[in-house]
Amino acid sequence: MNLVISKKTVLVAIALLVGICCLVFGTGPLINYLNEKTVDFKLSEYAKSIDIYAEKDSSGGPVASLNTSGTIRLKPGRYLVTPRGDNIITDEIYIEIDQTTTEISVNPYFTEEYLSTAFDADLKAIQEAIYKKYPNTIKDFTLSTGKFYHFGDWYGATLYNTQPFGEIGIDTYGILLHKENSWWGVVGDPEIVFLRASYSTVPEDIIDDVNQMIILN
Amino acid sequence: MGVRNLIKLAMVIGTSLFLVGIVSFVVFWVGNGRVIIHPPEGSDVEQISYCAVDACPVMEHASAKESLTIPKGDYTVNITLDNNSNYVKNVTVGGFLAKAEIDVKSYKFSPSTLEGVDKQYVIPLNGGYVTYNQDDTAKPLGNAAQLQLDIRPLSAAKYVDENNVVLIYGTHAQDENNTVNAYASLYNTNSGAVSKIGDIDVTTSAQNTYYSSNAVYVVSAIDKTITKISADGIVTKSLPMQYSMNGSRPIVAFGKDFMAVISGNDYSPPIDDGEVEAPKPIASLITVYKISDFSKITEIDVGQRNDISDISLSPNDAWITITAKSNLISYNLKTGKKILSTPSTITESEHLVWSDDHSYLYQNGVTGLYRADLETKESYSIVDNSLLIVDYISCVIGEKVYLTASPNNPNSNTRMSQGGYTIDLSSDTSNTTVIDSDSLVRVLPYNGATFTIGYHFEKGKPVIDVDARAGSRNTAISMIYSLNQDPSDYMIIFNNYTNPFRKEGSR
Repeated sequence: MNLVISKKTVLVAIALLVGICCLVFGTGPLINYLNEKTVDFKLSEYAKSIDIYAEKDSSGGPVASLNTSGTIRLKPGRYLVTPRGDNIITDEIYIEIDQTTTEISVNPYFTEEYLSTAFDADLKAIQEAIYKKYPNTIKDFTLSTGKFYHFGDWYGATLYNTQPFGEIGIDTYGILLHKENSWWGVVGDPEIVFLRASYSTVPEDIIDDVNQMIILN
Repeated sequence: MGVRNLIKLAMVIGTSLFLVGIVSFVVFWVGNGRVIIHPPEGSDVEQISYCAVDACPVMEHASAKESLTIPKGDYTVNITLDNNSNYVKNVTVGGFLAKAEIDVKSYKFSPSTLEGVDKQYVIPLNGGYVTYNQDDTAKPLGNAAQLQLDIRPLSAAKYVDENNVVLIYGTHAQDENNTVNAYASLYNTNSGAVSKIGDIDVTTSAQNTYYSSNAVYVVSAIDKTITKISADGIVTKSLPMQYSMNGSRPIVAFGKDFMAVISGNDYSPPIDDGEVEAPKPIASLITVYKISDFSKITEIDVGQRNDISDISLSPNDAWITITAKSNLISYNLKTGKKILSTPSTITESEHLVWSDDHSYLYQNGVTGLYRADLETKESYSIVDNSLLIVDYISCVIGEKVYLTASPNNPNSNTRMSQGGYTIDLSSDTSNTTVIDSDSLVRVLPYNGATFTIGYHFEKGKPVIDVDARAGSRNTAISMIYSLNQDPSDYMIIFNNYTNPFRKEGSR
């Protein structure tokens, strides 16, 4: 057997192989690129940077990082965003990019540790807001030590009844306040339990925490 | 052969294998697509099964729980979630590994109980309801008690418009040779007036009674006639066409203006010992006619089969659904195309009830109540699959489903309801995080030393009632948490209680 392969055949074979390789290995990246979405990441003033990981491969390195607000091209899918900054929660934030996603806000709250000390100066204004709204009923209650939430703009506490033999009994109430335009105001009224449907403007994590505070006290 | 030639041969073989590999990959790439599953928030996928639409209902189980890579084509994908619900979607999978995405929806509406007597069917009337079956007299309950019913069995009750109900009293057999003819009455729900529409000359029973959106039909297989009973009167016509039978029941269906029959379907239901006779499948054809003059509208070839027990036309004559031995298959009447197949079940599919022009409710297997939407090509469970064994879906009035059923698990706290259940579908069905109030129903009522916790339903949503002494209300709320329920998810009414802060704050 004596195979003779001419130069021309070799060149055609190589060109064919290169062409097929370009088609096979080039089409994928091209489709990938066309599939990607430009997403505008808006970082809050407290988030100094973010790392973005693909959800399926979060143990690997980040697929993208940002040190300030900006745009990134990402394939539709699920991602985990790790924020960094002073006094903010750095837990992973789950996001999903689909064909309609154009903007993602990264706005992590303050840590509990920071919230527990940084806003003590607001306590006087909080008490005044409560006494102003309930000048009579509040006389039978004592305000317990409460908690600030999120950016120090939400406050929740419990109210103990100091008149156990009064007509309203000794039930403990919870109270929620919100700071808007530098002013603290009571949200709704104190309740034995806060219901999501009745307090739809209050973040659910705050409702859950205050409800737990009420039954644990 | 020299070394040089061996190398050349190896190069040629290697290049050929490489090219074969590339071609195989390209063929795979061109011929396959992907299905990506997105479960709803708070739920995980337990299992994915799928079938090519033409091969359904036999399903293949996928090992993956997030995505499938399958040859391009039309598929029915059945997704079982870890919250005892199912979601079925028809998808078209393209080639080039293109993605078909499925956003899984999960709905859980709560059944409310209807107190009453054990009957097969239930129909609402004037805020109350009537329970009945074909062998016994009907029982009106609540506000429906004003309706004086006949002492003979009520074989059908059907709203023919918003205000009028056709009541059909079935043929009453006094003895083998002496029967009392059936007759129909019209009950006006506004005035409470009952007027006799007329006598029905053919034998009537649940077996030969059919419903459309505006009339009740009785089909006589012996006389080969149809009798239309509506608010306008009773009209009987001879049937000029051939049709298949399911036992003694003609396999026909009625819509607003059209009727459909199936031919060539030799359906053989199980015989006493559970075995199934297996006649040779032959081509089955659905033919649709105009009821007014029996002119032919269209024909749909449903393939070689012998397992179709029933057919059903949508109220607007746009769709037809066949009840096969183990699943339901819906077709678009205009195009004749198969639109949706439900997954197969171990038991025979039961009847279906249309809830609007493009959706119907159906049972699937021993447990499970589903709604299929032919416009969106999807179907989904509407109650926790583990909750009820559905006996019969009686009707859908407005957004309320009336059915008879029994609790699936006798040890559960699901209430046994002799009169039946209602399920209110008026909750926002686009909301994928509907509260699972089924579990609340299972743990309440609760009686504590100083409080009781009960519940009732308002507009289909559960409301918790707390009856507690002053000072015990916190304990009652704490108990709701202990029962693994989040009280903040529900409306709560404290009996004999006024919030002192609200009283002052609202001044």
